[in-house]
Amino acid sequence: MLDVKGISYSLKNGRKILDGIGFSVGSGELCAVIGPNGAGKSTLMKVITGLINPSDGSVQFMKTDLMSLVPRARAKVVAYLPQITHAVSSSVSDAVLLGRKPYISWYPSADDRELVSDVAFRLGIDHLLERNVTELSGGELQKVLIARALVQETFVLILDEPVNHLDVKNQIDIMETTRQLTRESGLATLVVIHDLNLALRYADSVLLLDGGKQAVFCRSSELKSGCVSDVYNIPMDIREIDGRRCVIY
Amino acid sequence: MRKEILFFAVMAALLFAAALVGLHRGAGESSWGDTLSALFLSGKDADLEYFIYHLRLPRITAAVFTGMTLAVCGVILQNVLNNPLASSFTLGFSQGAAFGAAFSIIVLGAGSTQYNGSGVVLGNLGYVAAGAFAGSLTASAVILLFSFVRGMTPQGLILAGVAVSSFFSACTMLLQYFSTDSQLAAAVFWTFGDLGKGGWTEAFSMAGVCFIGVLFVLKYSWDYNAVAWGESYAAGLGVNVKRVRVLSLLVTAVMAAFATAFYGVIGFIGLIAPHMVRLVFRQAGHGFLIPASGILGGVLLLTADIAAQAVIYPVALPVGVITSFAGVPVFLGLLLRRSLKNA
Repeated sequence: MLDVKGISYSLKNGRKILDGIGFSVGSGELCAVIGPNGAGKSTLMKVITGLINPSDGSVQFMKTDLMSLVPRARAKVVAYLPQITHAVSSSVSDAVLLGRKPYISWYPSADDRELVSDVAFRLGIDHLLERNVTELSGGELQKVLIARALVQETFVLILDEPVNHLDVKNQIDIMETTRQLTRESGLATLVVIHDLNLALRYADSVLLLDGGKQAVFCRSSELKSGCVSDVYNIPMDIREIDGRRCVIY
Repeated sequence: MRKEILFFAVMAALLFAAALVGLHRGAGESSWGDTLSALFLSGKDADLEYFIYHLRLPRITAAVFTGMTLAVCGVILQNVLNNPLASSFTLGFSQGAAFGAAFSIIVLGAGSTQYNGSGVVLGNLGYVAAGAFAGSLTASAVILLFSFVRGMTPQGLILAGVAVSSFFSACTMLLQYFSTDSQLAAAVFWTFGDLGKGGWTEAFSMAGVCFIGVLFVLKYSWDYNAVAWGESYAAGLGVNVKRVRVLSLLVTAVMAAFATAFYGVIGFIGLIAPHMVRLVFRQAGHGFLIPASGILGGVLLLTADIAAQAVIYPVALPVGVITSFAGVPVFLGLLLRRSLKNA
């Protein structure tokens, strides 16, 4: 169980970016983090990963304070995929192998390489292993990065806008894969996402942020259209269509 | 993998061949048989044995390890500063060394010059080298201090390097303006990279520095691979990016300071060797890039040094001129080939 308690973070000039955020995500659960631009979603992910020290609050996993761990030890608990800015020219197999970094001393072992093959097979990207990552499509690259996070063998998985710039088919593919891996590997997964319909369709719980504050944290089946409308400041309606909850705006 | 092994085999063969040519040619007429028998200390030609063991072998050793050192510094600086133009030259380390040398020569009177017919020889080389070493470390200390500043980006460090470089160049010019003709000649001569400046002590020191430095950066090769994806990625993989950056800057500063203090300013190797390897091995990680750039740097500098002595024999040209003349067309050719391939 990932426990985030009372996280606050302020810039040096005193501007509050996060204010008293608290929620829990169980193993095998996927939580969608939603909210308008500038709501503090990415900053919160960086705090949970340990890239930013919060002004207040704590992040615990199975009662272990993640803030007290050294970066290498923390990277064995939390895998973090930031938004993609650029792909570095390397083979897919080396790009995935990089996920073993917290375990590599000088050079990766044969076991590390075997794990890469296993995970690539599991994600259906084993045919890409010799390709250069710069030649992959957006969807393929995202799967490679998820494979990298999986070989990191952590308990918590954080994905920051993994479906940005992807077509609808690839968006669904990535979210299906993420949910399936979360269930199979018992991960506590956080996904920052802008598409509210994808959030409702794939997430078990939803954390809605607004201006650094926690507007709502609830099961995705319990998310009300009123609070979403208030946060985004546009009329929105959540309706059930063919047994699936959809946001209409 | 086969391509990588082939690369190292070709480089080793080139290094061996260039070393043999370097041993054979130089002052004095001798046949290949004479050279080889002198190399194995047959005692037939004492003069030739002296040339080989006291002049040519230390020079070859210096060329190989200085080339390796500069190339490895280039790979690491380009990675931790996230800039393909980063090298000990662009960061101002070399200009700092040039100022240190000029200070020793002009202010402290360390460098008297003698003209020996084929080139200028600096007296009190030890003091000039000490000055250059101090100058190079001072320049790198400024960059290191900047790297400790909270929020300082790699781009900020590059700009600081450009500023430091300009500052030391201006200081050197100021010293030169108030110097005598012979001091000016000595100071300018020092800035020409010359691998004949040192003997075995310098060559062995260079080899030691290169070995320790390469071992250090190889230990961090997977950290460099992670840093290449961006700071957030690397930090998420458990890499302490700031620590890696500061330690790498420190190690490369010391490596470059030794190379520049002993042999003067040799530009371009640190820039060209890593990029040539990257252009051919596009998917290479730092576990390969570091040794591959190192050995290529050694081959390039040794070949350039032999060419520098041979082009208008008996005058020996500054080796840096040759590295640029030969390296630029090859580099531009590779760049063009890749661009056309991607078009």
